[in-house]
Amino acid sequence: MLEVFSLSKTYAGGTKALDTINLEMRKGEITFLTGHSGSGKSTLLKIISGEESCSDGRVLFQGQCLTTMAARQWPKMRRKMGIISQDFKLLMHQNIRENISIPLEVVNTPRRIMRRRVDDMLEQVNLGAHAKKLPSQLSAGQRQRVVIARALINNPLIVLADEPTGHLDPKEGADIARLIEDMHQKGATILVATHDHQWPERIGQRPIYLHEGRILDNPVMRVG
Amino acid sequence: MLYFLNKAFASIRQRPGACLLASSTIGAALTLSALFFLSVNNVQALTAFWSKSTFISVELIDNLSQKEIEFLANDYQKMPEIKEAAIVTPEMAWARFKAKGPKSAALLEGLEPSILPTTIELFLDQTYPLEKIAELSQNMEASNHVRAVDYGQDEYGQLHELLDVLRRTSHVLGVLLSLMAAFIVANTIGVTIYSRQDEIEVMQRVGATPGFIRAPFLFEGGIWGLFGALMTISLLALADYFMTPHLSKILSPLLQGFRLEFIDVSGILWIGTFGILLGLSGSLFSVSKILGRKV
Repeated sequence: MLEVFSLSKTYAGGTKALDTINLEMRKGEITFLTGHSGSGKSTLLKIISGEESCSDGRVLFQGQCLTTMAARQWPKMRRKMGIISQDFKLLMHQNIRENISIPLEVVNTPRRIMRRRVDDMLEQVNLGAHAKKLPSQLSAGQRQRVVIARALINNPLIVLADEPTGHLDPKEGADIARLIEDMHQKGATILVATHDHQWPERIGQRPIYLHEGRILDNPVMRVG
Repeated sequence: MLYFLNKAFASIRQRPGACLLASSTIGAALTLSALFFLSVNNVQALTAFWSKSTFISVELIDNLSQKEIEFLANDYQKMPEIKEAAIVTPEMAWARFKAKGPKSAALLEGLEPSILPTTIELFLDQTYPLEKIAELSQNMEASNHVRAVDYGQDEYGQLHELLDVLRRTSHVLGVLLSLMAAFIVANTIGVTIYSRQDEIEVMQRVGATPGFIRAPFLFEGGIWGLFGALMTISLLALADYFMTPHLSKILSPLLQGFRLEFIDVSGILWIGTFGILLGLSGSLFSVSKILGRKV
């Protein structure tokens, strides 16, 4: 489903963020990218989601090359991706229900269907009682749940999660980790960037270690 | 369309302060521009008013017979530019001068009406540029029966020159003022929209097309512009209601019969259209700038 070939990224100042990264993910897999800050985890996710460009290499998603894709094709492609980030990026003037329904509005989903799907999703992320609250009225963990709900509401083909537990306290972090694991159990394909290397080990997964833009140990990882 | 309009109104309800700031800026820019153009219009109307009210006074040489005078007046009357040619005898001029007041009457003591010349007063049928009036006067002055022609050339010429400079300057000032207004409005809207770039990023992240992202902002910009235009129209209407009678009263001894021009229906429509366009273009420019920076 997702293939990364010899992907490199060098910033204008000469800093090498990624150096010949190779990676392959199959449908239904969960893959963890771990490493210290500045190891290139977020850059890799940003290149996959089209928020940044690469200097060299290719990213194929469902056979389509993302690194050479025209800007006008990106909106459609992003609808196939669910993006979760640690900075939440919620609309603070809109309530939780409205925030979760944005991806459905973008694809012009009928109001009735939208209401039902948002209700289902609110239940899944355990926020049913908070639907009419503003993000500012929620805890950090609850806000991250809203972001996860928004990322999943359109049944994306892949979820890209960048430090989803990064800004949370240990209890909230564990809750969010469990929620993501549940999503994976239900069949979602998820690529997670996290500095918490115990998380993949906890669920019996081998993470991909990034260090200064390079993958350590395994040039090509297959994690199932 | 309705969806985007709803989104725009919802955003205005959520951020009334931003709406007030943007609308007030548009309103202030429009009011300044409208006041400027109203001033220019009134100056032009004043020029036209003075041109129209100017008449030519033809001073005749002494010892012309009544028949010759009437013949000359008839000749003038036949000219297409002349609405009316009236003979003013020395006695009539004497009576007019005396009627001006006791001071004028005292000046005439011991003098005879015959010291005054006979004149023919010519009233123009419509507004003519100063050059045309000067040309007419020159033709009249060429006659042997005419001593001098007066159309207030000294005062009028200076005034006309001044108005001409004002008119030319007003074009340059008008363009500068419009550019300044557009710049201030674009910046205010820019700051307002820049504070919402998170919203734009979220929309991009969930796969919204640039058109889908822009549309509610454009509607919102248009509504800001409409509110700004309504503020301008209200301010001008208030100014018209309170100031025009007062100004007319002050000016009436100087400019009898002159009416100050204010905004009419077409002016209101122009202000409305400009306001909406200003809001729309400001929004379009600002959102496109943010969208252009993102992948």
